[in-house]
Amino acid sequence: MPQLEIRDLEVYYKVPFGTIKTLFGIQLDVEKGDSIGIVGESGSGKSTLGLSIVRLLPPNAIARGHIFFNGTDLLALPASKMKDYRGTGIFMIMQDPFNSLNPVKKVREQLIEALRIKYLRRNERVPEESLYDEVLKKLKDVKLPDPETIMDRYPHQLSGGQIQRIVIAMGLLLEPSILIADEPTSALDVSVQAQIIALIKELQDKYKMSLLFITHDLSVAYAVSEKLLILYGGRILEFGNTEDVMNSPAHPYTEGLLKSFPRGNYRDGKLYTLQGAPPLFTDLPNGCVFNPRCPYAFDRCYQEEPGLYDYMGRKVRCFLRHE
Amino acid sequence: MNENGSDVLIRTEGLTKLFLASKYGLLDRLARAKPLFVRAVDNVSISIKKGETVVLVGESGSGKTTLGRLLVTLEKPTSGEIYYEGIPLSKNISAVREKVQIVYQNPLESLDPRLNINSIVEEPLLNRKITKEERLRRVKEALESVGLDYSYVYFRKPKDLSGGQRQRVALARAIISNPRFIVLDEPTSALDASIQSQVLNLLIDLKNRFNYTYLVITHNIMVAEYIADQIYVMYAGKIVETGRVDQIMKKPLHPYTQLLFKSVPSLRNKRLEPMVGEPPSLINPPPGCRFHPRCPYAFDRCRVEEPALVEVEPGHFAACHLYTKK
Repeated sequence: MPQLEIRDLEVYYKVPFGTIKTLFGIQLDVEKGDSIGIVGESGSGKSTLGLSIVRLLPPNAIARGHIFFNGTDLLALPASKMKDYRGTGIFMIMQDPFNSLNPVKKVREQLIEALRIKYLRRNERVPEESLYDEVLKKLKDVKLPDPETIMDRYPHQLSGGQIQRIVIAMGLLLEPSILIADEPTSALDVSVQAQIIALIKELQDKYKMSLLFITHDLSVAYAVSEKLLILYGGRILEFGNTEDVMNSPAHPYTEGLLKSFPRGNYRDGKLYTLQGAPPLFTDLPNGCVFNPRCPYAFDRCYQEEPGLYDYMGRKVRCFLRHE
Repeated sequence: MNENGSDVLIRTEGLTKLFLASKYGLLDRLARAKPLFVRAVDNVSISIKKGETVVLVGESGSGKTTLGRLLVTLEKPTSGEIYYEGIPLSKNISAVREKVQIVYQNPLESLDPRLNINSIVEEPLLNRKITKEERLRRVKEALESVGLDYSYVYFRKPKDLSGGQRQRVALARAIISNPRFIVLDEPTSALDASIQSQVLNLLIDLKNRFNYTYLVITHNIMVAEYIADQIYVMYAGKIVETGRVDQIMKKPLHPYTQLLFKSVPSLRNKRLEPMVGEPPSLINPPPGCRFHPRCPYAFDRCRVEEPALVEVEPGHFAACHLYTKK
């Protein structure tokens, strides 16, 4: 049985003039130890997907469908019970590291607090001194220089790279079964980005966590993931093995995205471009969401929405791949 | 690096910009405390040829943006000189100001949210003696050049447009005053992947049509390779390597450039090799070569003597003791 099963997930936002639907029929199985790159442009619904798994959507959002975590439907749980699954079950690293820590508590207090919660849930009694040592060891794991001093600092005294590592260390202290990382490197510098990616991969291997890595950058997803999920207009357009998708994209959107990446120098010729812009949720096209930009679109694409078809071991939402 | 005739548009000599690292008030003066400076740009000499695109790559905090701002006269150099077509900038700053422009990374932050697109694009012309009709004609022309429809955008506000359209507006605003030199600070990094190639193509089109000279600041190696003629690699306020784009991409010489290329995600590179350590403090830069604490090849000389930029192969320079003979 997969660790996480998402079935027919739909998310709506209530706005003054009705509701806006932002996720449409999401189906996803996450097996233990999977690393899945969730790639989409802004407004594709990728952060909404992450937030609905940990049920941290804003109050005006409604999620329908099922998210089974080890057999328990998270969406059916009362809010008070959901707390028991966050942190130790599913941990989410948010996009902006500066907002992830409490600004008026020292790093040490926050990390030790996370550990206390873990042992409380396991009904284990652990002396305070060993908690400190465990925190120190994890901070060394995430290669934070000079961890003793950093533990006595407040978040505002640290750099973005340091805070992001502390949040990752907190995630590891809790030993979650699923780690969701929402653009964990976009607030960081290029050279730090590679360090954090390598760290997450290394620790995922070591602790056999499942990883959902949300990013807008296909090249980052390529470096991180074994499986790739392409989101567009709130729908899964393609899902499959990362190498396969990158080598032979099956959906015209994935194909266009890969073709439009800069290669070589401008003297060698113009870049391929996908015409137009990603759709707005307030103004989605009829039929296939990608039809206004698709070079292969035909009559049926404008009338009917394609399903998510099985195609060469992948899932693809395109009539061209439906035998 | 030497000035060969008149094809050099901008050249800098020993350009240095220091920022005060902390307040230096009356009490500090009375106590004769030594002021602390951040050495953002340190003794940088570059030259930019007419009609070419120079790309500056490096980590954040390496001084890329400060160098860009110095070249468009938004910062005053602490020492050193900028020559614009051979004339020192300090002698004709107002003439140069009319010919240079800068486009920032995030158009949502750099465009006035309360102005409509027509006013935003028109603004650079306001304090020049140009009639209203002429201004309108030029706004239409500039918007058309960047691929926007005047009747669709002129009354809208930046928030009503998509990311790609906003970046086109920022470009229209930059080109309306007929500049010769445009600094583009991370022109595509706020854009969605499918929009990035549209904007890169547009930049090349504009350059071919109007013969602009660009300085592009980016940390995206694939973008740098695509748009550049010449690349400068900056580290901790210094130029550590420069050469033609094919020289740098095929055979990076400086260990920093080599490590940078290996650590940046790209579609060619599944196995990333992250660089160790953090960028150095610019208040107290390491002695000798500034990269030596992170350099896998560092030896004794690197810790004491600062390497000069030397020509390793024709047109390809690196500041590294591996290439200086002694």
